[in-house]
Amino acid sequence: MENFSNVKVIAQKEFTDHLKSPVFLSFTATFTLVVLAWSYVQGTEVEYTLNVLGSPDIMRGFKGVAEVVGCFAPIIGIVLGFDAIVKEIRSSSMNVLLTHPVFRDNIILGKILGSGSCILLVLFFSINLATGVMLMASGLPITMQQIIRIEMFVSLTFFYALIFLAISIMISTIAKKSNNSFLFNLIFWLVITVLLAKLIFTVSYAFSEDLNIANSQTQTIKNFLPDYHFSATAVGIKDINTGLTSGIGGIFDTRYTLGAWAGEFWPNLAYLFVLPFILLIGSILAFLKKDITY
Amino acid sequence: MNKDSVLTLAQKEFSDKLYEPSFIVLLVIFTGTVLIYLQNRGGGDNFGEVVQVIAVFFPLIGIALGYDGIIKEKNNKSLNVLLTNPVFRDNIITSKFLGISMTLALVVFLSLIIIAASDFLISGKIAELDSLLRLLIFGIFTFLYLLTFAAFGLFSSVWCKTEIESLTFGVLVWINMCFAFGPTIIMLASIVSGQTLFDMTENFASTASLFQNISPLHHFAEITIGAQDLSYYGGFGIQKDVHGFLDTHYSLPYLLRYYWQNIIILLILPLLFLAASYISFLRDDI
Repeated sequence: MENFSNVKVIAQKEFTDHLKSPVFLSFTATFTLVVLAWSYVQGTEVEYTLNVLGSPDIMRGFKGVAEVVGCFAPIIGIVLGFDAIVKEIRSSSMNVLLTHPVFRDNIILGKILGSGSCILLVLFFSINLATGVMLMASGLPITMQQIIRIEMFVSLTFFYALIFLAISIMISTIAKKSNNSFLFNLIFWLVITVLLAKLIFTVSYAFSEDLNIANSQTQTIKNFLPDYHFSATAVGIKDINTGLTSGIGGIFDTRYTLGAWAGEFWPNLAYLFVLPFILLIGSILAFLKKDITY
Repeated sequence: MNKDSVLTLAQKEFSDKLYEPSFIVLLVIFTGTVLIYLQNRGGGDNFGEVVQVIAVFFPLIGIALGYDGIIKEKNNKSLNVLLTNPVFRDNIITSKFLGISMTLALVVFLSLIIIAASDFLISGKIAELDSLLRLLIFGIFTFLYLLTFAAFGLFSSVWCKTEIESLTFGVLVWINMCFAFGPTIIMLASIVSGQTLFDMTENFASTASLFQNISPLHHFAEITIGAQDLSYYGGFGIQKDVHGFLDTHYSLPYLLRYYWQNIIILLILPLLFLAASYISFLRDDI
């Protein structure tokens, strides 16, 4: 009970610290701007298809929002975790904190809880704003079913960002300086979300000179990447050869029930829900063994 | 005497940067990426994707080179020690800028050699003087474009109180300029002109073009491949007849006349940030 109270106090402090941090606020503003601007463009595209083709392609709008959120949500996780441990060690406040009856696991759990709450707050605010703008720009009415699916998308994105929070806390435990931790986190984000799949395909194709082999090898590697599982649950799985979505088109595909969606994508959902906890346990273990003298 | 101290400091900055782990990791990843994108291109004449990779991702190297230039020295107290020697504040900024420029030139021209070598190897073409000259010009413009970000990093290192603040500031500018710029311009142009991208009106196009002028990415895109915007999340752009300096259908003097405004802007931007760094640092309480 006392331990829980310690964790709660540290989590509250972490949460309020983040909300006042200029670094966090500026990245949140940038994230919201990117998502908002892209959603607006997608909304106008939906309106155009409605006017020209006569039938709205609302899925295109939601897919656009999911795509940009998938690329930038990790940044929020990174910003909240990159200096979680290294900053406390460098400023020697970790030593002071540990002279109190607080254990190391209390500290890291408090930090994870505080940062996790911040991620949830930012994603809830930004994604609802972005989808709202997209729907406004498209001129289409919103249904209750869509609202439920948007909120489920927020929770999916939360778990996705949590993966990067865990990784950034781990890097922050290992790194000697905050700026190095931040740079290595950014490099990791770029490689994982933007570059890796393309690089693997190219290398594989260069060696095998066979498109099918290159595609299947790329798919094998993509199965390990969080962004693949996130985009699969959000916008469906694209066919490797045609590039079109086959089967259920993700959470926003209202032709199917949520039960059918969960049944189709349960391996991806399991990956998204389990991986953050494995990584968070890893970062807790890394911190428990860390020499905090500086 | 001053020239000697500037050169000594610049040499030290250059050698320090070369051994920084974060710089080495960035260099290896980005050069490898360019090489692989080139391989993927399969020997065609379309450099667009390769130029986009350079335009979007390489500015992070510029930021990483410049963000701790002054602030690190200030926080380590080594700046105080340095200024007890007969070295003036402007010497320090000049030498930092020179050191960063040398490192950046090394990165750009090393990548360029890889581009040229692999292009000729993949396509089987024989290297002609004109192609090499155009690649060299492309390298110079890439250097100037990245120098803008490095100079901005240097400016923020003078202006900010901590290294992490300076890095954050640089990364925010990078994300806004290279990722978010395209959709943001479309949204702004829509609000100002009252029309959307899909209305395809002259009014929308001219408003978007006007806003695009504030970005170094736009000028780099125009000058190299004739595109209006290369930001990662698709922007507004009309492909012009002239495809930048890599377009061999036009002579170099013609292209110089055609793109003189973009060239001047790319030349001026790093100098503007350098001047801002001078002014800020000369008045700074260290």
